[in-house]
Amino acid sequence: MRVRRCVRITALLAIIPVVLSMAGCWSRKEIEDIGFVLSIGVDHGAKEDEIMITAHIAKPFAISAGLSGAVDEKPFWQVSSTGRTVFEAWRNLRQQSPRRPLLHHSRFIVFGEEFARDGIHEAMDFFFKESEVRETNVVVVAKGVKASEILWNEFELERMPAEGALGIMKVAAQELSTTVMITLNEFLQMLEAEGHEAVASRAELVRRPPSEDPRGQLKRETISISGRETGAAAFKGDKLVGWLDKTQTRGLQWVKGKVRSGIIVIEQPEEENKLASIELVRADSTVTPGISDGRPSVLIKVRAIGNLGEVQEDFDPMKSQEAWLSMERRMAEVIRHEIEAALNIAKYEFNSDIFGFGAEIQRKYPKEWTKLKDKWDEEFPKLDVEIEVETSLRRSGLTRRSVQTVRKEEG
Amino acid sequence: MTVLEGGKISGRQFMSVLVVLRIVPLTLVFSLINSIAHVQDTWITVIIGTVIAIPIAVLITKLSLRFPGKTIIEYSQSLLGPVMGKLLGLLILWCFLCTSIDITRGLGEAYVIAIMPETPILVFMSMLIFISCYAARSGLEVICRLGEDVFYIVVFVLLLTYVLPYTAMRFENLRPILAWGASNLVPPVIANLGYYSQFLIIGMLVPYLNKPEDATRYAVYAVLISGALMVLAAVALVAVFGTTASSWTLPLFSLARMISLGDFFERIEAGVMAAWTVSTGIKLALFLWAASVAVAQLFNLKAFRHLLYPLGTITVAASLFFFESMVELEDYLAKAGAMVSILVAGVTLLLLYAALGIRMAIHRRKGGAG
Amino acid sequence: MNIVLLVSVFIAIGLFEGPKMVREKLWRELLVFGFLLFFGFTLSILLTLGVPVPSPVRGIRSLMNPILKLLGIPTYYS
Repeated sequence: MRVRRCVRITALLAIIPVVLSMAGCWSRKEIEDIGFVLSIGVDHGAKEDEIMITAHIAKPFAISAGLSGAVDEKPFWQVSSTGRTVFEAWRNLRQQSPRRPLLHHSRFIVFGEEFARDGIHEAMDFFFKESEVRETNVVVVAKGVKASEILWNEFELERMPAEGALGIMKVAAQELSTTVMITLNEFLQMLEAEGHEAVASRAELVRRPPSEDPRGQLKRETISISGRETGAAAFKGDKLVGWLDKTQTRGLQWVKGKVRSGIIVIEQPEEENKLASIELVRADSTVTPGISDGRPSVLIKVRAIGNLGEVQEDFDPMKSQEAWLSMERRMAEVIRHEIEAALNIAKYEFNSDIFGFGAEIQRKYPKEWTKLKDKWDEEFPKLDVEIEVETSLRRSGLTRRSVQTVRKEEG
Repeated sequence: MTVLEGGKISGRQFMSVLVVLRIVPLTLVFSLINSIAHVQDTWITVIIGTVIAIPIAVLITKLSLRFPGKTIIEYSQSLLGPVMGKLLGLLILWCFLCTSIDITRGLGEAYVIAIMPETPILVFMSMLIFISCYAARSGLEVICRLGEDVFYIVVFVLLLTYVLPYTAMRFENLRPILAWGASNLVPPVIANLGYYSQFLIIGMLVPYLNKPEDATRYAVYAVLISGALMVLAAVALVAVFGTTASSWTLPLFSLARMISLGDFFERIEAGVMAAWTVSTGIKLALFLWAASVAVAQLFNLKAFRHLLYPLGTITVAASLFFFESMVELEDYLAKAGAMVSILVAGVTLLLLYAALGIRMAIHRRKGGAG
Repeated sequence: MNIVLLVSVFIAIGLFEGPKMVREKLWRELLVFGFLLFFGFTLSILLTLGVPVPSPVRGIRSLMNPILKLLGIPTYYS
């Protein structure tokens, strides 16, 4: 009797969420009534003080038909609407969309450059508050164009642009380390943190005149606009201040300890005009702040482990240990240059602490930080940064020495 | 007087329901992290609060053990006399009802905020109240047996929620430690102790334990387990969200939303929602049961079961007009509400122990004279 | 419409619990039960009709705020 009651009560409790969300009452969402938004863009509207929201919505019928390869229709639909706030603009979308747009599956939040330069603060709260938006969305800034334009990019191998961009971005972040992949959660933390300015991913448009480029013309008419996901967008406060290129971005990632893999090209020792490439296997970093006489300083230690992936001239590591060590040194030098490139642009061009040195100082010296905090803008460019790079080459692929080709001199 | 409640509960069930009743506010609004200015210290405040809560739990348990078979409502009447005892009983009853009202509203708000913003909150609250009244009507034994199962489910879901967002965790977010002085620690400790003051309900449970001698041990275990779960929650939240951890209305729900392993292991938040529902259901059942038993004992009634549905209707109605908004509820839970609970628990313990001391002194003198 | 629903809920509770108590001659219990049910009914009706009911939370808060201020806890509501 009692056991049966227990079971009945548990079942009843468990039923609440199920009943309400599935067969539900008020917030019912039938699959036929909704459209999944894959990316959402934020721009200034045409009128002053208006915000334009662009949603990239998947066409479910086009996707499912696409599996059999019959439909030539684009599998997505892009639609923009405006409002005085993000939420109003978002809701106004319903005037144009016959299906209810849902943000649960969205992958990207894209800001147009113009909008980002004027400050994104007023647009952020919506994404924070709205329960449909996942904090794992990637924050992107479109370089040189509006967010609504960048969303038109398309990619080969993936029918949905958002999936394509995500695929490229994942590779760029993990195997090249030349882009940052910043989730909404990380972005908000950086916006809020003291002594840590925000960065976001950078996206560019690649226009391809259809007549000149036949690559995109198989089946789907053409891909005239593609995208490029490299580099990073640097913010100061909530305003975009500039862009990091690939080298600078990897410099930033070295400091943050986020380099996963990548290729480092060095000049081959003991040879002229020949190069060697090193594949990074692992890397980590520590940032140690110090304060002496009230002046802050930072010591960056980077440790990188790589494999010799390729040499352009014959090379046998067994013959000369010096060459092997020299390669390690050159690798360290390249890394140091990349870090310095990032440091220089952040310090002197942006004056924006995208590395979070201030936050590190706050963690270690909370009392001193309260004094430094207000003048961090003046202190940051003067900050003494010491870089120590420790590299080691572990192995050299399947071959110990490189192939010795017999070459005949001409003439 | 006839026995109102014939059920017997085991020590482990006793511990489970105590943990569940402390964990409910953690899974919904984690008031500790919402009330702290600098989130890095949250886990320390949890430890402080938990350490202070141990003697509170022990004092309540020990007191109840002196009056075997009697609930706190009954023995406060025999200690303080019928008038003062009844007044104190009413105060305790008020606290039980308030807790029921808070969590009913809390769960309703959580549902509305998290998934179904257009659904009237009354729908969730009345369904919950109905089920909880039904459970409470079945008696303490059923509640506690369910409580034990719910305890395992909730602990499992919580641990999963703490561990799985590991990709997003950055433990340097936890530094600096104790950089803002003691004033940063006070509000969350108050909030924490406010919730632990709900352990006053131990006074209603001890008489029904099948082995009362284990009560103290299990009460301490309950404090320690719930404290450990909260420390882990604080660490996980700050590691994942950094300083933004204090801005979430439903921190643990948002934490669960961070979980994405591959593309298939997502939507763990459904698990968190299930944990809310079952644990709140059990806690509500327990407090409604305690309230109805308290009413029955205050008015010398022979039965308590038929009081549950009326009390349920009062709870639903009250939870609608007590708080105007979620913001007000959060503020109340972390500040004024917590303070009231601490004061009531403190006053109750002080009065009862003082009366006990005086009685024993008189008794000894009489014994010495005779 | 809402009121009809509300009244029927309370009648259902009364019919569910009442007859048993009458049969067992639990008059005292019936009195307390009736009082609680009536109290709940009054509250619900007032809420349904949109009559503003003063919330005791406000009173509690104004009692507690001085203590909280003493402890250095900021209070936003008065």
